[in-house]
Amino acid sequence: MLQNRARAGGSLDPVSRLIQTPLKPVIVGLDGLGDQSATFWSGVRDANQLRTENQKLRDELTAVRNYLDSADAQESRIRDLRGTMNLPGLGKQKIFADIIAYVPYDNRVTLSAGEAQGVQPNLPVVTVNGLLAVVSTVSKNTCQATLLTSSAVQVGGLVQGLAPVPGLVKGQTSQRLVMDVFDDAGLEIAPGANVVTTGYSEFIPRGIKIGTVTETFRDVDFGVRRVFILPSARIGMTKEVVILK
Amino acid sequence: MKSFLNAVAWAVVIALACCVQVTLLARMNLFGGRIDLPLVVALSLALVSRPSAGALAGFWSGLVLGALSGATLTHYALSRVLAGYFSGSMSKYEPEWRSGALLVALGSLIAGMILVILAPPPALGVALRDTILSAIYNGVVAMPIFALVRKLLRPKVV
Repeated sequence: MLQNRARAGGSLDPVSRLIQTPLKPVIVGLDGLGDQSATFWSGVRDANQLRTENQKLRDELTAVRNYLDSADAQESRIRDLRGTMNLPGLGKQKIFADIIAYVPYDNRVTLSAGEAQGVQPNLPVVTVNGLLAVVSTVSKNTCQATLLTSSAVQVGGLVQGLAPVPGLVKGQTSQRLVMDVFDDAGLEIAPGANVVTTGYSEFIPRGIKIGTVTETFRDVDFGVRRVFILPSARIGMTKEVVILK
Repeated sequence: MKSFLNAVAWAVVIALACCVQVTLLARMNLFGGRIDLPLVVALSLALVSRPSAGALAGFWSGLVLGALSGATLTHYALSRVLAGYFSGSMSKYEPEWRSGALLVALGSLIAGMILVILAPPPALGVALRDTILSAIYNGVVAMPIFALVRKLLRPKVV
């Protein structure tokens, strides 16, 4: 009755207060311990559920990562395909093909187009980045093309600038092309200048990008300026190519 | 004087058991049942005392636990007074630790049932199940506690 009256008044009854006051420090101390204990026991109790949930989340994360990787790859492929489709023909007929094999030792690739599609030797193989290779041999449905980075290939190149400088570009390493030009007085070739095909050829039209000048070197003995070029199209950048006929 | 100090010491022990109950044991719920440490201590004490002392131990445990948990003091105190009296009346048989644990379980069941009668819960079936489970848990916990109390309070043979 005493308790009910105190409760009705919104306060604690005297008996409860009398008991609680001396025990309060003990309860506060044990309460902190209780929180830790409760966390521990809830962890033990829910361990199985937590493990299942954790595994499920891991699986979902893996699936999302796979999806994102796949989406990135597909997006990149679509971009390449669009670029290849929109490549300028430069007055030539475009034959679309895929790189189906690569022989690094020979600097050679196999393409999925051949005689049946109208491919002939010496035709340029172009990607969205620029000139990649030149067709060397042709079979019925495939052909072999030698990469521009091969020392066996020589292509007429034109360093673009105020006064365009022509020369013969040939491969030196898988990452570098070289072009020798006569070292005339007043010849200026700045690093960063674009190098394109000259078009002085029966097969390769003018204006296909070959690469970018990285440095030049004056060879006094031969009286030439050696121009080093970073090829713009390299193997591995894309799978889709166009053969210009 | 010695018996008075003993009583005070046991009152403190029961009060501390109540503190442990409201802070730690109240959160440990196994299939709805909970260990009731103050009741186990009070009933263990009652089993080696006279019925009046048992009733007093039960009353004190009910009063402190009710005060700390904010429950109705009358219900807790009365249910435990009766359970303590019952246990105290069993002390004449001088139970050993196994039968003592069984009697603590029985006393817990009596206290729980009286509490259910005094303060009827909304779901009676669930409350009865929880009361039975709690009595079983109390019986298990009583084994070491009753053995200890018995060892401390048993009259020495000289």
